[in-house]
Amino acid sequence: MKRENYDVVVIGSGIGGMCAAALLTQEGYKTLVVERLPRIGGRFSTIKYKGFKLTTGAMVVEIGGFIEQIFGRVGAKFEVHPVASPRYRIEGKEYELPRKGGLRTIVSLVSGNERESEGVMSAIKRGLSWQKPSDSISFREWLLQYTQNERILKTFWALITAVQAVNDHELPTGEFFRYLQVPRPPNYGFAPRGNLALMESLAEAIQANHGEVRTRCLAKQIIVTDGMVRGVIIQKDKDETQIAAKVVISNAGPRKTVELAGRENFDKGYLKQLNETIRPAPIFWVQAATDRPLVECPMLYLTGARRVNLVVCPTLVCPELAPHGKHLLMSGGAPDSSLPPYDFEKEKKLNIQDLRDNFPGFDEHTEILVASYFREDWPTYHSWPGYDLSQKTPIENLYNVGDGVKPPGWSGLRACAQSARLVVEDIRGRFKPGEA
Amino acid sequence: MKQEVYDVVVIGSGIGGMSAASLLTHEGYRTLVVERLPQIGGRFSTVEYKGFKLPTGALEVEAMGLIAELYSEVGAGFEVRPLAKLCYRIGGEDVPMLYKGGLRALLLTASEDEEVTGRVMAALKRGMGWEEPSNSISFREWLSEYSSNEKVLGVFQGMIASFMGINAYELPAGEFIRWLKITRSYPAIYGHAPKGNLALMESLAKAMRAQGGEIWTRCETKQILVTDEVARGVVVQTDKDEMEIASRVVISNAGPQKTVELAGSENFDKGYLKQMKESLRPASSIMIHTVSDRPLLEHADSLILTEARRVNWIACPTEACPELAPPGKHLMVSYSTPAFNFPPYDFAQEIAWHLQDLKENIPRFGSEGDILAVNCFHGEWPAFRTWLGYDLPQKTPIENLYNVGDAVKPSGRTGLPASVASGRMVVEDVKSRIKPGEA
Repeated sequence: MKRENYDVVVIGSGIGGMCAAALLTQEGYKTLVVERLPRIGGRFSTIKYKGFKLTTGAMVVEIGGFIEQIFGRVGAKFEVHPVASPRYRIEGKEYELPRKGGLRTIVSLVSGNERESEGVMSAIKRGLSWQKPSDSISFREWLLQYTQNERILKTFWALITAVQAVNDHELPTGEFFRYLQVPRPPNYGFAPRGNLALMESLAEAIQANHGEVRTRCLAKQIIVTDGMVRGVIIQKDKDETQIAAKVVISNAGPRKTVELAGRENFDKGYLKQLNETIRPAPIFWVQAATDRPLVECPMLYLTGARRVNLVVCPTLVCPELAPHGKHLLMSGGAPDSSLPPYDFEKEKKLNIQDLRDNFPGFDEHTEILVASYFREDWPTYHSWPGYDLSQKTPIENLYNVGDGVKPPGWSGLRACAQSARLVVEDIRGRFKPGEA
Repeated sequence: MKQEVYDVVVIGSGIGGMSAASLLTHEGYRTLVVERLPQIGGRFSTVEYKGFKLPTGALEVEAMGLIAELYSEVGAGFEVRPLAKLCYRIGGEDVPMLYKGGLRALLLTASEDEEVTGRVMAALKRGMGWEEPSNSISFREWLSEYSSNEKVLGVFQGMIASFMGINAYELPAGEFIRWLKITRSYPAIYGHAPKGNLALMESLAKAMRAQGGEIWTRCETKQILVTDEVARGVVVQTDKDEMEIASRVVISNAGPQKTVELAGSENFDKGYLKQMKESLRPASSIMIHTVSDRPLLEHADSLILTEARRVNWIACPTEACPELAPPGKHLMVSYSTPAFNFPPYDFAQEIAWHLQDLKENIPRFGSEGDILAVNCFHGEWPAFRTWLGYDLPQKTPIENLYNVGDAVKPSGRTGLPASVASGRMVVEDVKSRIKPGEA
């Protein structure tokens, strides 16, 4: 078998793996990224279909936050066109909300009763400034202590499913509060050439720093001896290569990591925790072609629908993503239970019915390109918020990054990037480039 | 009703409450401690009995670390005489615990196997240096992946039961590793207070009073006042009358359950109450005092048993501190932990096993020892208010109402330092939120 040496091997080229690789190569670590698919990016990538550039997962890109910082730091081009300001459709009317005090405004609009909304907001404020509520109950249960108003409950449900990808009755209360405390990006936007183009510019930065990214390259096994990781066996075309590495970072999800390294090398407590904790979050997802924009704003939260909680129309700011004269409309909606079994036909019906009800002319002007779930090994998140594992595995120098090991309170792309940053900081504290 | 105003009221004068109160007084906060009993100290105090000074709970005191630092910071006298020798009894032999490499030596004696010892030590080292094991399994389950040697398990069982009051299978694996990490950070020198633990607490009280703090004994707290989910003070019952005390902060050393009862469960959010119900579980133990005319332990004044049925720790405080007994008399204190730390307990059976262990392990116990007292710690007066890893946070959902003590221990801490650490964490939080005299 062929042999090669690296400081670090990264399995998987999702945003977590690529951020880790970019930061490590910039620090001088000799790094190899292996990706089994022909294209990089994982669920932050692009496929071409009928002249459209469709996302493979992430609907929006964070601007001015943590992701852009990493691009800046490693010298990768970050081309993203901003949404002027997201809107919220509340009780049939659309609102742009201030960044500070937005939640208060929403609750007060929905409630129409100052005393009631004040009661809810002061409980939230106390949770932030005094003590975060216990994770022992769900956010829904917690909220019910302060209001029984169904419209307020429904609004929180919609906002939570939109940003945290699970239902309010599935979200540990503390996790809602931690989410509010984690820095949020100043804005959102869309990549005019698709998400894949962004990842490719990150790959260029990795290569410029002497790192390597190999696609169509399958990780067959993570090599472990004496509780320590030693490298990876990879397969490209028909050739197997043994890569010796000091550190292995997996962006393939914690379950896949265990499978690749061999269950017998993990301690029982970790396997138990993995088994009991990790649960993928499914979101039902529609991508449709329209011959006119059905929304005024490229990013619209719905607070009163059955399922759909977020609708985006990236072509309003990035017409390049669709054939001339066409627009792209995407929506996401959470099923009422994030655990299987899922009723695909029922979810599809409810999601499409929501789009019809909220966007007059939907049927006449729209062709549905994709209607499906993110789930299982291609999920919205590898695990629900609050149900993550730590980045370190019990095997020395074997880490996970990505959305199965999100730090508490983090969601979205930045959660993956933050997991990568934590891993890179730990590696820097443990050994220097070239020590392998 | 009479009214008084303080910055901080502390309910209960255990080591957690007194740590917080003395530090706050030292920082200039007008602080009052209320204690329902005639004497301070709670389970870190002393009762006089037939000329002996007996502990009300904790026996040995760490001579270095958090407690000593607290005393020195607030300017209180700290008289603790170190033990002569701590040993582990393994296969009938008393093996001294060395400050460096001690654990490895114990495991080697127990297993008589370099490979097993090396494997267990490497796993512990990886747990401390790489990633702590998950709390999803017990330490005993974790250990069984590296060794099934019963004598090795016995060493850990003796250590865990002595220091933490629970069994190896009841301790979350991650907690043990965190404890080991913390205890390795300073020399674990234990000792005894020559005038009893109450004297140590009184020295803290003296320092506190000298700086303007107040302690009222025989003063029972009837209620914690709460409006709009913010603590406003307490209602106490003194000898003479009921009194309302307004304060900016209330710190309870009475245990979280009692805190909820005093403040009214309707003022707490459901999640906290659920967590309290599911997490808190007291650790119980039995303490037997035996008197003799000459010391009953031969090679050590503190001995951890690794192979007995129930007894895990035996100490002879009168070796370092003869003042604790009448002239010519010696005191031996032994502790046992039930095999299962949930009620119901069969204390008669537990005591019988305890005595059987003493007979089998202490050769002159039957012929020379007289039993002076038997104490069962459980329920409202437990060995620990909750097992390690089953603690609540110090903050309650009620603003400015905190708990301190051994049900809100920081992760990886046990014993007196755990309560002191909880007190210090609360003080740091209070300092960041309000200034002295703002009340």
